Amino acid sequence: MNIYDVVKLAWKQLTQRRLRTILTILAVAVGVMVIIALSSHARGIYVSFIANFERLGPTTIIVSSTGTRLLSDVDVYRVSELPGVSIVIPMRTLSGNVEGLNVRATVVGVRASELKELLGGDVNLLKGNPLTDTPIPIALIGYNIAHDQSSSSEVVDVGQTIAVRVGTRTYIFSVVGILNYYGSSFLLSSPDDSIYIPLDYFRRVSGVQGYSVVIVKASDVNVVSDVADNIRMLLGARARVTTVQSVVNTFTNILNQMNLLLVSIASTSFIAAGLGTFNIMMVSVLERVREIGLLKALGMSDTTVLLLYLIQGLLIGLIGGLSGFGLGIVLSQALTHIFSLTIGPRSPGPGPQANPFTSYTPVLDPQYTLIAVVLSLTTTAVASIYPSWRASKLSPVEALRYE
Amino acid sequence: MGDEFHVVLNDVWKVYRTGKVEWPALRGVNLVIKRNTFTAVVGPSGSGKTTLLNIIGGLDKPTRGSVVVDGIDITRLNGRKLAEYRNKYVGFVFQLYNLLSYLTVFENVELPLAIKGINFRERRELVLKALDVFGLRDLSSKRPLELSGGEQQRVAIARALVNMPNLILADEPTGNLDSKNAQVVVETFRKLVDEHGKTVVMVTHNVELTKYVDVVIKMKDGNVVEVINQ
Ligand SMILES: Nc1ncnc2c1ncn2[C@@H]1O[C@H](COP(=O)(O)OP(=O)(O)O)[C@@H](O)[C@H]1O
Ligand SMILES: [Mg+2]
Repeated sequence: MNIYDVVKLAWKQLTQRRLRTILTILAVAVGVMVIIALSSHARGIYVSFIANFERLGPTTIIVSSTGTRLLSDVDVYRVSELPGVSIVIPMRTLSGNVEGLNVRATVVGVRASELKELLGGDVNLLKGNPLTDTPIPIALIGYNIAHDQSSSSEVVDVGQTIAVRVGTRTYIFSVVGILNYYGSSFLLSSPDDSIYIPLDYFRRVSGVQGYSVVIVKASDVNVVSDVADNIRMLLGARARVTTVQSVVNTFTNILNQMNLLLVSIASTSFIAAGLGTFNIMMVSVLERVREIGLLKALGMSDTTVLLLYLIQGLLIGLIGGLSGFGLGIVLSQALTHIFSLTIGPRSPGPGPQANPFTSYTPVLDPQYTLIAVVLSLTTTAVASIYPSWRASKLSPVEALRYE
Repeated sequence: MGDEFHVVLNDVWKVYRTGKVEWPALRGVNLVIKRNTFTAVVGPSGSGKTTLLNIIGGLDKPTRGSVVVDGIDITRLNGRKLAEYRNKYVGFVFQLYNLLSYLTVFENVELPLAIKGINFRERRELVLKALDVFGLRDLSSKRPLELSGGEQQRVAIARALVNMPNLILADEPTGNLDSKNAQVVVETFRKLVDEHGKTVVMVTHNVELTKYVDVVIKMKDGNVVEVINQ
């Protein structure tokens, strides 16, 4: 008997018991759906996270002061003298409220020449002029500060002033430029929510010497951890030293463990699907004892009978896998919608969304897609081995006698 | 033994074991069935008629003895060869028709050809030919349960013949039919012997029908007790 005819007969037997077959297919589909939907969300988070880090660059080391004492000019100088250090960017940050607009903002004091590095290589201006090193209150403001959160319309223009309230003090800045939309950043506050002002002015007006954060770039990816160790040694408990590399590694590990957990959870649904398949295959074989006897009387070999039922199991797995794949994509889209409703509205602006944990795009994970499909096929195949074997071993005489 | 004999049984025993109880259903049957004859097997219930037919058809193996069909000792065939034998050399007709309810008439008749691995085009031709012999072509897209008992049994006979086997084995084929339909079936077998050169062996309870046959084999307690050539 050629394989096409065996598959056709297998299909006819399956469709004869439509409801039962559909329910079993559904059980398989649920497992695949869960894996596809959740892994694509995990992957989406990961991809948006990595994209944010790539903007900072893999050689970046972030040194932030821990206690009340800020990092001094001497500290900055000594760090810059360490081997393997190519760039050192000292900055001051404060967070406050923009008056009248009621948005939170991080005020970042930075040297004009170093802003480029901080923004990942480019100062991307929407309008106005770049920052200059002057001891006067000028500011380059982020996209979310210049635009209304819900309507995206411009609320602050170049040439206007903004007032930022930090604690009991209020600072007034004249806006010289507005930045384009950047998307989120992890270790630093997002450029979209930041107000960049000249470091010199910041120091003069705050009256406090020192830096809260120093960005260090190593000369080579391979020396990053050595440089980080040296900085830790130098500054001791006064600073927290974080490398982009280590954060990415940690995050990758977390993601892998999350996915493993996910597959184990989904596996329980595959156990259910396997038992379901075993059950219907067994019932199907017992129900068709006479019929199997007949097929054998007509000359069907034991091997072909075995194949006939194994194929039914595989068809359940295949259809379950494919529909689970489709449902998984639908579910992952639905989850995106649900998350954005429960966690809050998306930030305005074009491009990637501001908070990668609430507003990312799910990305199909090829590895887990493959795992899901392979799992669905093997589960149903394994579950139908015994029933198929039973069918192939039925004695035609007994089977035909069977009432 | 010459070619004149289609089926030759030599001291055939079949002992069924149920737990520790042994029951000899056939007790040393010796029998020859000539080619191109219509044979009826009669006898009381439990006398071993079905067992005999199953052994000739290669559905069951005898405990002892040899069964030679068309010159082949089928007791020596392995499972795969035996399946092939059933497909090519034997056509079965059962009391309960045994049609597959989810296949159409056409697909039911097609089944032995599909099992044999005949290509699609040739299959179609052979199926239509077999359906035409029994005037079933108009029913070819119907399902078995839409047909009368007589029609279903004709479909089953068409299925038994479609592979063009020389030996037709029928176990009480008229048991579920009224006398008119029973007559049609037996006349069909007669025609297969007379016009198509087949050998037909039919188990029956109906003495009326034995007037159509060439040979009557009487069985009792697992033995052939009388062979009547008519
Ligand atoms: N699988 C079996 N196990 C035990 N006994 C059987 C089995 N098949 C048939 N028999 C017995 O063998 C005898 C012959 O059965 P069978 O050939 O079906 O008779 P018939 O067809 O003449 O009515 C009966 O007594 C029956 O009970
Ligand atoms: Mg019987």
